[in-house]
Amino acid sequence: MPHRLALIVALVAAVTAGGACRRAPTSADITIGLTVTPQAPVVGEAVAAQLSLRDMRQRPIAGATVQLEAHMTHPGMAPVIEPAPDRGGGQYDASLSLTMAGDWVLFADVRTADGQRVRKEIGRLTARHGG
Amino acid sequence: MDVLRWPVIGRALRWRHARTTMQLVLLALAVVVVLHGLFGPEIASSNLSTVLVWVHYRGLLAVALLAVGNLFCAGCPFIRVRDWGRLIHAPRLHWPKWLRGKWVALLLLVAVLFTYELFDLWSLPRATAWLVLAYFGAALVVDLVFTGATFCRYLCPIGQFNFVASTVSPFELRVRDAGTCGACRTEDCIAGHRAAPAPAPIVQRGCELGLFLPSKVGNLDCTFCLDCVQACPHDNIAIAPRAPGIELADTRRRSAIGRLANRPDLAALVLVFVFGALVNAFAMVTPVRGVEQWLSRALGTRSETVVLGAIFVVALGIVPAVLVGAAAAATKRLTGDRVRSTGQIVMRYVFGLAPFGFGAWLAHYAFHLLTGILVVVPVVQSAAIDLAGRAVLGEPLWRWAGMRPGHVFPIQTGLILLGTIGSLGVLSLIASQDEPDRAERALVPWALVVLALCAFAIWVMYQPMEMRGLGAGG
Repeated sequence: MPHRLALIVALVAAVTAGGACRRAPTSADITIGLTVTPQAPVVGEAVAAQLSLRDMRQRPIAGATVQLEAHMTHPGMAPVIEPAPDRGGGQYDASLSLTMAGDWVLFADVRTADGQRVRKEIGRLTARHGG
Repeated sequence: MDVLRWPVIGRALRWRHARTTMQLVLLALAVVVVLHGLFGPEIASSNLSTVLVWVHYRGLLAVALLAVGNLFCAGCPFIRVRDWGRLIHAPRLHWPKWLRGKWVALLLLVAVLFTYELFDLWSLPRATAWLVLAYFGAALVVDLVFTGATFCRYLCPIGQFNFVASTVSPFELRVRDAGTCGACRTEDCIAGHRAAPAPAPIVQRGCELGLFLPSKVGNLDCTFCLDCVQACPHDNIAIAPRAPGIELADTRRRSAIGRLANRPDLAALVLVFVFGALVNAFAMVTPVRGVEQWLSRALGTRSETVVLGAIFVVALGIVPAVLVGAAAAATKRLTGDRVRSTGQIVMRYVFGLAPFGFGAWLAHYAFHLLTGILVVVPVVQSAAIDLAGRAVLGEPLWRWAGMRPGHVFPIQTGLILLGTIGSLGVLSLIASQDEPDRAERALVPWALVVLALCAFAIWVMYQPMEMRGLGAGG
């Protein structure tokens, strides 16, 4: 019985782990630039983020649906997720309000008009308490 | 009451393969943790390694200790792998006598706490995976060389944490009927069970940690593995409820441990357990940055290792020594105790701080568990996308996290107060046992210490979080 159990567990682990090991296809076709103001954000205050989307020929990408995600480096904390509307010319603007002091990792989740999907890290911020 | 007699749970626990099943489940999770940690995304919030270890495992471990007992030692996957290893190579050596105590494990526990803070381990999936692998490797190597549960008893930092915390657990393994043990001649609970008299081989091992059930007191060093239950031919062992923490005031000689008052290593372990909880929580809040900057200037160094080392020396060494030393001296003076030295009084009362320490750990771990209990959902969804190339489990629900941090604070406060009340109760019991006529006088200094620690812990939990963690030096 233990051997059968061990086999089942090993199979489940192997399948799960196999999934864990495969990386998502990343698109090198899209480059995402990021400008953040202020660069030293304060908790609870607005952070203006400007994303610049370009294709592999450095042409602006218009008409994409973009979402900006801020995740703390500590796992398990609620992220801040805001839409970044298209401002034209490949520019997408978002406004974030970071909820906690500490280190944040910024991700852009991009769906282009032709259906491409890219989610990747685009920067890091350290938020501090005001006052 | 005996949990082993309960209709469903009791039968499941008494099942011969109950422990193996728990171990295999945790082993499967450990495999996922290691592989996703090594090969998955390097962002902690998106990796099952960091999420499962630092959010769920720690929190659930503490909850299990509070609600039941040392369940995670019972289901320890390191020991499953070790047992497989022992099928190939049986250990022959005994752990050296001069190392038989908690000192090495204590140093390892401090090393783990220090490394965790220095390298921001919670933010590093790769390092988390390697840490888990290191545990597997250490348990395997040590226990393939040395007999018994050497790794669990003398080395494992997690085990020591669990042993101390389980002193406030509501259940313990103990004999059902002392008379039955008195008539027993085989002592299978410790020697192991043989199908036939010796030299027939042992078919069920007894307690690997050397706990002889008739003289076992409390949960210290008990991994809840239930080997003793399986080995006892008289079905004379129960999982019984008890008053949490009472064992900390028990002066009886304990099997494999001796008297608590004669174990400075255990006393030091309790102090590190208690003050480590405060350091671990303090490192997560904004004021620690000010302390680090001040220390950096005072020591004239920018080395994070040196600054953090200084904090550890002060917080885990100097402050505890001064506090308990002063409390013991005050107790001695207030009670006019001319028999016991200050050190002997320390050795008696210091164990009473354990419930508070557990409350502080629980408050910290509960924060992460409750605020992040659902993050495993989007992380698994994200891993499924990595696996299948499409959202087979749906788009990751990244907004799923858990309770808002502000809502957890009352729970944290309650847990700290619960631990404080537990410590005050145990210390009061110790005082009334030692100084029946002057118990209040004996108790006052220790009560002040516990209340001061309680106030500090609540203050820490109330502080705004500032979770740094961009890797080493980040």
